[in-house]
Amino acid sequence: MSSVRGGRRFGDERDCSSFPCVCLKLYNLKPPPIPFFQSCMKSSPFAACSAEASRLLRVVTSLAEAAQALELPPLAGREWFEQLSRKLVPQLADDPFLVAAVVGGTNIGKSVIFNHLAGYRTSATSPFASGTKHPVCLVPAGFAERHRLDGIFQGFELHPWSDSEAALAAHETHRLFWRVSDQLPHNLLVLDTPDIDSDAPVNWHRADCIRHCADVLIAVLTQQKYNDAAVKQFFRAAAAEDKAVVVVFNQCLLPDDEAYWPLWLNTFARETGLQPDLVYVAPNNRGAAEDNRLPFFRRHWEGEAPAEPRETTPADDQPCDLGRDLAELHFADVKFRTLRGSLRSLFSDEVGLPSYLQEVRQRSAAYRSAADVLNSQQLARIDNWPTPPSHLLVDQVRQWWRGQRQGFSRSIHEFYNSLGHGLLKPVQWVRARWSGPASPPWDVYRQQEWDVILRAAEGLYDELARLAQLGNDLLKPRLERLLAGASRSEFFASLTQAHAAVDFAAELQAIVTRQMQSFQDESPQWYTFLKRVDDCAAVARPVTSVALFVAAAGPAGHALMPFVSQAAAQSLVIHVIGDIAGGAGAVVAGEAAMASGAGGFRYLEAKFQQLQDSFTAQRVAWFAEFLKSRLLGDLQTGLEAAANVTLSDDFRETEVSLDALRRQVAELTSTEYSVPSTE
Amino acid sequence: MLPELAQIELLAQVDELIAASRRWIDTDLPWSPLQHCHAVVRRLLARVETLRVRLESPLVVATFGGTGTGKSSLVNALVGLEVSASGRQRPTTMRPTLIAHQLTELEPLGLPLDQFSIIRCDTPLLRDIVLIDCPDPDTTEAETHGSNLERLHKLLPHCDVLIYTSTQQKYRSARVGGELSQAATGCRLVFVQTHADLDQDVCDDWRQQLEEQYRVPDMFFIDSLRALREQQAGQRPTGDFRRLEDLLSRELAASHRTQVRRANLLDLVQATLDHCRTHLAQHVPALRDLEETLEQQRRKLTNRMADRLRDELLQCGNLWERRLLDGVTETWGSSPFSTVLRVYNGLGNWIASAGLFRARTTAQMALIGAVQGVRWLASRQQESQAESQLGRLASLGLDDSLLRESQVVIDGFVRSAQLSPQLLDTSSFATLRSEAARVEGQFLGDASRRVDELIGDLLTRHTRLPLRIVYEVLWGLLPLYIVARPAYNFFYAEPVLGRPLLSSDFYIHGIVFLVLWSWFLAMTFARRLRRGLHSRIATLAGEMADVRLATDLFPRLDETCRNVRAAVSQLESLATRTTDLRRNLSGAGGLGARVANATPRV
Repeated sequence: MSSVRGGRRFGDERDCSSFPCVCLKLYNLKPPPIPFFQSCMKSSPFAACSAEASRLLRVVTSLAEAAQALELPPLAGREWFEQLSRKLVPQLADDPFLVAAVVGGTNIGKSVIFNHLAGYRTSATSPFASGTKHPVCLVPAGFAERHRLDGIFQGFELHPWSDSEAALAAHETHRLFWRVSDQLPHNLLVLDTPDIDSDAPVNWHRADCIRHCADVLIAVLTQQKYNDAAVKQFFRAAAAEDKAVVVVFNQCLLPDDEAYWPLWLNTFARETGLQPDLVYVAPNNRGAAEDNRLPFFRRHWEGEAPAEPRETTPADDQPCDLGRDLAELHFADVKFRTLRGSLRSLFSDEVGLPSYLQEVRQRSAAYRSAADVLNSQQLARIDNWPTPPSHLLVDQVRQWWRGQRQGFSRSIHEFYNSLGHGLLKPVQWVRARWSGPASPPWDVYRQQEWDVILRAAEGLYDELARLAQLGNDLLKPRLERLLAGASRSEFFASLTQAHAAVDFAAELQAIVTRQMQSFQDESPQWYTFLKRVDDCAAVARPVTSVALFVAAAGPAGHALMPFVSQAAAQSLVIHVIGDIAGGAGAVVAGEAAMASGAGGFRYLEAKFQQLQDSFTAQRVAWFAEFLKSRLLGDLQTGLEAAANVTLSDDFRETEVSLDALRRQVAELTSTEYSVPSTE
Repeated sequence: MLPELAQIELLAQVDELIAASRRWIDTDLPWSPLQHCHAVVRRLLARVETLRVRLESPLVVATFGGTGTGKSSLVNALVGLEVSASGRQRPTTMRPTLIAHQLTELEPLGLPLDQFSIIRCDTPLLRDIVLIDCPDPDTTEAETHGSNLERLHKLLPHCDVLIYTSTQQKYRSARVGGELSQAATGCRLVFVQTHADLDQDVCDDWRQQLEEQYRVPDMFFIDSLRALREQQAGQRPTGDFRRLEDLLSRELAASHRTQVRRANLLDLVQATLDHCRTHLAQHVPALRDLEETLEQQRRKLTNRMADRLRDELLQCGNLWERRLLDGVTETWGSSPFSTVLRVYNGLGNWIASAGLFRARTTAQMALIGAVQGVRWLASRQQESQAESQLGRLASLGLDDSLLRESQVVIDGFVRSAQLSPQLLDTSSFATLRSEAARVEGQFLGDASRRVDELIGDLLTRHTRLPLRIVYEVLWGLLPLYIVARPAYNFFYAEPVLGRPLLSSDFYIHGIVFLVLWSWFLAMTFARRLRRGLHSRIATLAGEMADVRLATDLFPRLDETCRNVRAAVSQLESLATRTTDLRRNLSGAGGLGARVANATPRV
């Protein structure tokens, strides 16, 4: 029987215009020259690119992991990925065995036909729909020793066949029951599959998985179902992958339907783009079906048949053996065809891996622009950050100065200072009685700072709300999460806690020590001058102390007060995202004063001003850092990570590997083939 | 009750339900999930109007099922004539066929008549109904213009009864099942397995599948071709087809029209209300969060004010003393010791007025007197200068930073709950301040009353007569001595015994000791008055912390939350009423229907 039309079809240009939705007229693939084929009969025609395909699968999987931040749909379920993982990687290197699967809608006799192929009752049949829930596979003797079945049927849990009912039991894992058959050629696997149209979507999924790795589909169609949407969708995908298809019209009312099947097949071929390799009709004979003696009549279909029904029962109509016809297919040709089909689907710019890469690029660019929008915003504006109480500043300076004194001047000053403190005690007590206990100075500052921080936080939330209104689709949901009440109260709780934990005195002390040290280093002449003045003061201390005490001005340090202006109102804008992320601190005012202050007391004044300013700047930086780490940090790093996916090694490697695979395939099929630029 | 009357009663209840739904959508609340539901119910009510118009016209019965399940054959068999082409090519029926009795007026049905092939015939069954042979839902992959699916979707809303046909091959088709579950709401259903000549009976398995979603009172396994042949041969059809015919002529008779239509209407109402409930159930947690946060804020405010009140009341011990002594002297009237206390108190007040114990805070104002305090606060609020008001506000702890934090957090919750942000007028911080002032005023009013009570209580305990006598006598002893001693000297010792007269130094000493004695006694008494005051103040502050304020920082928000709650529970009660009615109205009869989904309670 000369049933092999696959061989004849190599080289002939398929007329793509007749199936517009499926045609993947991508590469002008030509059949390999005969010597190539003969040399490869023992292994797959594409064995040479097997390694590259495995590499591609590996890098694309790790790219998908990296691209999780982009929130793209997963790889599983994408046709090209299923082809790559279920068909190409497992089958490219192996010898050309064929996987033939009986597929079709529910309750139309798939299992019956499978049993006929098997020659005995392997799958249970039932009058109720959606019976077969797991695929059943017939494996030729010795095949399982030569091949890894779990590599071929990825994602399935393999179970040796025990009885015909096992595949009917519902189970949440994807199972596949396999059984050795002596009647099959050594390199043909035959499967029974679950349905593709019932109300159990898991069945569709299992059938799809089998379709991906199959080479030959035995399409079971009936008068009721040949034009069903679910059936058409399934076979359209198969047509795109260039599967060999054997159509069996089951449950036909013979001879009435003899006139109709060409019409049905026309519609089916037109709608799906499939060109069946073999066509059979089987009568509606329930008894014969149960007894495994259903006759299959071979029919010849030559493309478009007349639109009107026409009696075409051949005179010499004898039932055929479906299994034998299947075994007589040209395996190498079919294998070449289906692998080529899978590669096409993988390389397709519209639906293949390139389209996924394009999707990643676009999505990544969208994230980039979202990140840019966020970065360009002036999110927090801070007005009038309070300056630290000057007397505390002065106290710190004095303490530092005290550490600088040595010898006699030190003892004199220490003595009078303690004396002064002792004398001041009762005065302070009376003052406290009179006007109530004064609140600790740092508490006042803390409260002032808190007010400013709250005002800034309020402004920040307003800004974020405004930004959310702008309607960047990626930013909006993220911002909404930040703007939600629970997130706000959490933020304030942690802000309150962090702010309460700040030790202002220690911070100020650190700054004073640093700044004064730099003063000592920068202008040693000023330092020595002041030191000498201080020594002189020590000599005169008994007199000055008394005088100052009488004047009720307290310790001498207060004399420095005029240097320090209390109202150092600054308006600072912190680019929380830009500036702090870039590592630059907040603006430090007062540098200008340092630069312009020529000398003399102006210099000292500027120095004090700078002390205050650097304290303020440090506080502002603290707040900005807090905002970044607790409120906006995740948002920004998340966006950046997503925006940078296209720059990752995985992405580049995927592109490189895809190119390499294309080139290898092109060489194998010895075609003039130009690699499209991966732009 | 007569059956007819019961029926009328039921129908009246349906009308009432519709009226209640109409009232429900009239409330206007700024909660967007609720507004969405109102819009949905409004659409439903509009459709109810159109249904009302054709309440009495013949029922529209349509066949529904996958391609090749014999819809057209069934229609032919029902009519007894080949009116709709049945065939072996899929899909067969593209243009829906409408079969009506010659006398039936079609216009009132509201059907898009230009979409149909209309066939008139005089089969008895057609006197009460209009039959439609529908296109299939399962040969089209997407609902595009001119597709069978689009034609079907346009038709379905006009149908009152669907005859769902299926076969052994198709009864578990996902597509047809999905379409049916969309189409079945608002329709009575009849389930028919066709192709009895070729297929095996799968009714039991099919029923199992159906019963998850539908009420299935009966199923039919028919052979339409044979039924048609039998009728054409002038016989009555036999078997299940006969049962089917009987069911249709019984249940769809003119007398049942209203009932069928009301049952369909109730289906629609329930589906809509269930949709609304599901929708609201998704959003109510956010609203609950908001309410909880408001409650927390309220508690935080009260606690803060109570703490501050306690601290300040504890601090001004002298003021308590002044106030208590005032009370004592007032109660005791004029008596020697009372006068002493008055002088003592007066001196204290004089010193206080020098600035030492001036009432610096609102809490102290509360202590000075409820009446004065409230009056003072009222006058303060009217003062336009916000600054002085602010100074006072902060004294009870409701300072700007607290208010600001509250506002920002609540704003977030309002946002999450999808309430209108206008409820929280964020632009005006001054509004919030004046609300805060109102809250403080109220709190202070309460506090003043309680302080008054506390003082009254202390006074009654310390102004009892025995105590008074003790102090009066103790104090009186010294002046008695100062008067008695010179008298003895003058009248007896000097003239009789010849002792020298007392020098005037005695008086000076006497006065000095009198002053010292008075001061000592007054101080002891004052100390006594203050005994146990601390624990009383702590208790008072504790009680104040538990007081639920009548006013609130966000009064509009609070009110809206309450109203939204009310609207949600009204919806619940509407849904319950619908379920009950539906059970009464559609529970009986041989027609199938969709079972209401179990929706989560709001």
